[in-house]
Amino acid sequence: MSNSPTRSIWRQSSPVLAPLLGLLLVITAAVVWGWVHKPDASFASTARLALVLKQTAIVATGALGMTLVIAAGGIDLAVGSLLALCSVVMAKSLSVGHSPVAALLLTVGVGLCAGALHGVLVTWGRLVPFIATLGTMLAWRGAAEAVSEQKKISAEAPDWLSTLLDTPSADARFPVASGVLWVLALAILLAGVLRYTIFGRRIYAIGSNEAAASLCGVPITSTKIAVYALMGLFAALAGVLEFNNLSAQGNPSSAVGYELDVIAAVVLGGGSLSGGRGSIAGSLLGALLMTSLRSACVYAEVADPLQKVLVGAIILIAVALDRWRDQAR
Amino acid sequence: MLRASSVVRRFGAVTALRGVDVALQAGRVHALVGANGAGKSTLARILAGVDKADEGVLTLEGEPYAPRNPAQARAVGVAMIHQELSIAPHLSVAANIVLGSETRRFGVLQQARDHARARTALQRLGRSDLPLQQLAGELPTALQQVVELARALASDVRVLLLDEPTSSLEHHDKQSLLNLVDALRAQDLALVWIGHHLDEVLRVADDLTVLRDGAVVARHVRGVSADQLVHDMSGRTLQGVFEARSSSTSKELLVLRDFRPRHFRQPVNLTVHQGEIVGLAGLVGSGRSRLLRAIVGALPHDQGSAVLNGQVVARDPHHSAHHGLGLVAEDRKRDGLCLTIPIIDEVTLSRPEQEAVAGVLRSGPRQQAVRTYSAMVGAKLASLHAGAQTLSGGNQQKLALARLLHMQAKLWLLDDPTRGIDVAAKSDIYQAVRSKAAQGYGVLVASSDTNELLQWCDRIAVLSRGSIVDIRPTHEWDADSILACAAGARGMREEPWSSYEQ
Repeated sequence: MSNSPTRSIWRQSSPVLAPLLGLLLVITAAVVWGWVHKPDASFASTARLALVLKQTAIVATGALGMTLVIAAGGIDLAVGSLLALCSVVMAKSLSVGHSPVAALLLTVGVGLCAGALHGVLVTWGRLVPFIATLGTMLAWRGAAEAVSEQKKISAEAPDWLSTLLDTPSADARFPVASGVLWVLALAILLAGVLRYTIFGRRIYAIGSNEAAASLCGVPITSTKIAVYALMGLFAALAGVLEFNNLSAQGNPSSAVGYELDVIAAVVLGGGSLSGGRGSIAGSLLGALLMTSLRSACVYAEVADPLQKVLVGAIILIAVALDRWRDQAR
Repeated sequence: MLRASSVVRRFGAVTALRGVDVALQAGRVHALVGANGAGKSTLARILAGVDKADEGVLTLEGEPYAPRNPAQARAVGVAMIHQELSIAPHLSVAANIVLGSETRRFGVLQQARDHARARTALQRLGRSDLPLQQLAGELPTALQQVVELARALASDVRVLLLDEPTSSLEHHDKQSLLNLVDALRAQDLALVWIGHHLDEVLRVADDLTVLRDGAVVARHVRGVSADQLVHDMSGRTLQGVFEARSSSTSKELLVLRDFRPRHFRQPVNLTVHQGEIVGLAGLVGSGRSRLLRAIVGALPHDQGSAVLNGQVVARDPHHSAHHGLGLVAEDRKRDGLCLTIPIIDEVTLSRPEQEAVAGVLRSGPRQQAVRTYSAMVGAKLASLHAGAQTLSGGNQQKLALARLLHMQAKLWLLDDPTRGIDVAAKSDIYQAVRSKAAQGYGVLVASSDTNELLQWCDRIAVLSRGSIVDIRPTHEWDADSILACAAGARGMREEPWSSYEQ
């Protein structure tokens, strides 16, 4: 009884607090470990920061779209395969001689259409999002393998489309990869959409109580299709970043398990798997936490199997946090 | 039996209970009465271990009693039946009754013994006619409640708290519930009754404690008058709040022509005029809600048309909202409100484009509109950015009405708008509805409270099993004739669970 006020403060705290604390914990732990075991190579180096930001950009792009989907009470398990499909489409399109702009438009178009299809399946098709996207998760992976004939595709791409994640030289005025800045700009835009537009407010209403929102006259079908289409768009953008990350290559077997990182990022950032809650700032921090943890594991030379266990534990903690917050309300 | 002394409970800056004392005795029904937000539900939740007191002492038969959760409370014989029933719909009646107290032997369920326990519990309630194997979800609400009561009996409960137990019941079922409570009292249980309907409270209660703003303002025993209670609850005397002043005109607003919602036996022909309040009476399952939902297009209709001001409606709820049809659904939690979104979004949910430019919301005008409309319905709001779940039931319902005001609905479709809310809030809501009607708006209101319909409406239509049986001006009806008409003049009412249709 005595701890109830502090507990309620913790539970009702802003969604960014938990991932922020987690982030501090991971960084502190890695830095302290470094003092003891690797005094000559600090965890907090510019190179590592650049690497973490690069990885975060890819996870965060998916997490932006996933924030909308989860806030609307849905889920999308197909982001990883759609990302792979899009990066392969990008590479293939360039390698058959399309112009970079055409390739980019085609990639984004594939993402939008695939996402819109998810929306159609869960509205008109009346499928549960989990099942619908579980099915397409396999389908998009297959499509990626078909397009690429199960090989990695290398492509020639102009600098503006292949160095998005390359860190400028250290003496540049702003030593951050342009792709990271693009993601940040998109995040700010999307946060504004969620907060200040009719579309954004409707997403939360649908996630909070779809039946009530429907009776109040909220257009459920069109809003949901738009949400999933946007998710597809962000998966495509993440695919473009992945194409950059692999040095202008499309790999049909990349981003396996990506959807879990993305969902974990959103939930760590305050999104509720039962809908109605989710914030862009939280999801960004959640994505940063996920990639920092991976980076810290690599730095601390944690064996790969143990790394997987750790990340799995974090995802479990994230989901438990979600349930816990739900009960507090 | 169970005694609470100086109980204090705070929620953030709000003090819900400020030092409440209450003592329950075996074989007596103790009613907690008070307006919404007076603290009676909070007190009951503390007694049942659902919530914890910040200060104060609880004792059960002289022993200290500090349940950490409902399961611990139940283990020592204190149970609560909530407003929202907690039935597992996919389990059988018997499984529901022994739920949480199943008999096990080496980890294996002893079904035969559990069935016997379930049967005994039902017998003690005088309802041994309930089929033990039926799925609980197939039963009508009234019988699900019987199952819940039986569950309490099956686990040897000594103190039973009933939170607004009649709010989801029909008149007929309310009577049988009151009889059940009499039966439980005769078995020496200590009962707590929380309810808004004073006639029921006066009928059932031996002791009464009146709460206002989290403090006990009066204690009474059987024999106190309703006027006295209302006075104690509100601190003021409510007089003449339900004086209907008809504003009906002859101008047609909504015309239903041969309109047959799916599963209706007969098409409906009904006109609502400008300024008119038309009531829909009927038992649960008679099709009241179904008709209202079909008019906004949330449910399909198979023939006929619904025309509002020359515009064909009943296509889908979004279309209806844009053409001036506003629905307040019956069950606030299920599909009436989005409880977790900010109040400001809740009120503007139907027509947000009114305060938006190219889809971007304008904060100032929006806040002003929400303040204006919520003041018009008398809603008390601390913050526009909190979720509606922080409000009492009455204030939640007022928010739903504020939404209709905001969307400029010309026809209000209200499904049991005063269900589970207190007298003062009822009067606020009635006044808001009546004043809108006086401005030429139309209202179609469904209610299971016949007296309320008689007080509110200009005309009343009675539905029974998917058709309108009769429609007359209110002065040609009385409570008995409505009930007779609703129950169907074709003889005995069917068994409730066989006539129950989804």
